[in-house]
This record gives sequence, C-alpha cells and structure tokens, in this order.
Amino acid sequence: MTSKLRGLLRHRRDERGDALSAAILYLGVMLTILIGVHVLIIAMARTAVQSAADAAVAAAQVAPDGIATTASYDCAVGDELRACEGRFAARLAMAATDSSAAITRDPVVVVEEDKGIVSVLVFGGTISPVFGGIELTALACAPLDSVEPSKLTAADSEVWRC
Amino acid sequence: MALLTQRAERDDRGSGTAIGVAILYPVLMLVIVALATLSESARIEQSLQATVNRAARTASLCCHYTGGTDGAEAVALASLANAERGTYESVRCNNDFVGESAVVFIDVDGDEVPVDPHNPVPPGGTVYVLATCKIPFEALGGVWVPGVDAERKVLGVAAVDPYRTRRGV
Repeated sequence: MTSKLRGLLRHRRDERGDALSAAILYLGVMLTILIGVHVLIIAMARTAVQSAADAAVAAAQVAPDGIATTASYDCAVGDELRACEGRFAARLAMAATDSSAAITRDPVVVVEEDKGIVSVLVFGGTISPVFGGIELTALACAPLDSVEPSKLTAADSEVWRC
Repeated sequence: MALLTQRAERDDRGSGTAIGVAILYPVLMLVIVALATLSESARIEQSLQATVNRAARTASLCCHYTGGTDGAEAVALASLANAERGTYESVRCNNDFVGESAVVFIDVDGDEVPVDPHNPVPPGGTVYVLATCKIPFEALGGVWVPGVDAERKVLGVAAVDPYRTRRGV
C-alpha cells in the first residue's frame, strides 16, 4: 500500500517553477498585443498626416498668386497667399483627423516661385502604447499652376522635386 | 540516490507553458505581420491615389490640346513618371506604371475625346487617369514572398476648368 502511494506521488506532475514561465508567457503576450496596437496607431497617424500634406499642396496650388493684405489666423500681412491657403488646408485636414493624429507644430508651406514648386511639411503627433508620444512628419510637393507645360514634360525637370 | 529520484520526478516541469509559447507566439507574430502589411497597404494605396489625382489635375489644367509633345496626356504621364522616380511621391511598382496607365478625356456630353495633337481639351469636361500598380509584396510589411505582387488599380478624376490654364500654352 505504501509503495503504491509512493508510486502515485512520484508520477504526480511537479508544478514548482511554473509561475515564472507563466509570467514570462503572459508578459510576452501583452507585449505582442501592445506592439500590434502600436503598428496600427502609427499607420493611422501616418496616413492622416500624409493626407493633410496632400490636401495642403492641392490648396496651395489652387490659391491665387499674391501677397496677403489682411491678417487672419493662418496669415500675416505680407505673407504669400498660397502659403496661407496651404497652412489653412493642412490645419483643417489635421483637425478632421483629430482621432488619429494631432497637429504638433505649425505646417510649413514653401512656395518657390523661381523653381515653380510648392512644398508642404506637416507635423502630427500620436501616442503609442510602446514608445509614448511620437511625432510624425509628412512631406508633399507639386508644381505650381503657373509652370509651363514644357517644363512639366522635360526630362529631369526640377518642378517635380521636393 | 534521493537527488536522482527528485530530478526524475521534476523532468516535465513547465512543459505546459512551453507548449503555450510554441503555439501562441507564432500566431501573435503572424498577427503583427498581418497588421503591418495592412497598414502599409493602406499607406501605399493613399500614395497611389494622391499620385493619380495630381496627374489628373495637372492634365486638366494643362494645354489646349489632349495630345502632342506638351499635350495634356504627356503632362499627366510625366507626373506619373516622376512619382515612380520618387521625386515627389514614393510609388514602387513591379510593372510598367506609366506605360500601363491611361488618360481619358470626356466632354460635357459624356463623349470621349480621343488623344490627338489636334483635339482640344474639352472645356468643362473631365480628365480620368487610370493607373495599375503591381506592388511588390516586400513593400507590404517587409515580408518577402517571391512572385507575389499585390495589384492595385486607382482612378484619379479632375474637371477641366475653362477659366484656368497654364502660361505658355
């Protein structure tokens, strides 16, 4: 009888030390889930910031050529009108995507009249569960509407370069 | 002897957790890769859409004629070519992105205006740019699978504004 009991006890699984490996497994799963959430949040924020940059470029292209004579929220007296429109469009687009990314710095719109390019830089921020606050930058550019068609089709044309 | 018996009794310690790790981690890794692939896919799709929209808009503003060296079609294709070169957009395709794209002009009556150096761009009409891109799979989340490209078709539309035109046309 005693030997049978001893045999049963010998075959019982020893669970000593399981707590540590279970904790490692748990932490690993949690970390993997956090990385997945991080990937999604960053992707959403990048898409939002890039759309804002694209919208700003389109707005700056359409805006009239000239200098602002009145001040507004995005425009000081003497600013290039196209730059003002681009900044305004970037702000609007970022406000519309507020759940994905928030604007962290003023958008930069550069109109290079001599080269015929308008470039926009938009800064957006989001909070990742892994790395905390992250700032993302999106760049977009396009030729101005005043550029001649021959310059658009020319090989190695500079009007397409940001 | 007692020590040997004790070791023999403990040889399957933690095996349940090890099996859990072996099953769970590859699945979780696959989920992360799938998420990365989906998010990159969305970003590339956005980039392609922005490219064709810009090409259509550039063509709609450009030129008096649909065809010719500096015609509207040539300008739209130049826009696509520069996007692929990465000068203003990062479009990466495994096919002839420019060659397989089409620029179509539709007038206000809904009829197609053929691309020709003598055909004027229809005022008030519409320019459509249809592009096809075979995105290399490694661009989607960094996983390289040979011979697997994700084909995307994108359509950019812009109206021809008769009161706006470029200089020198």
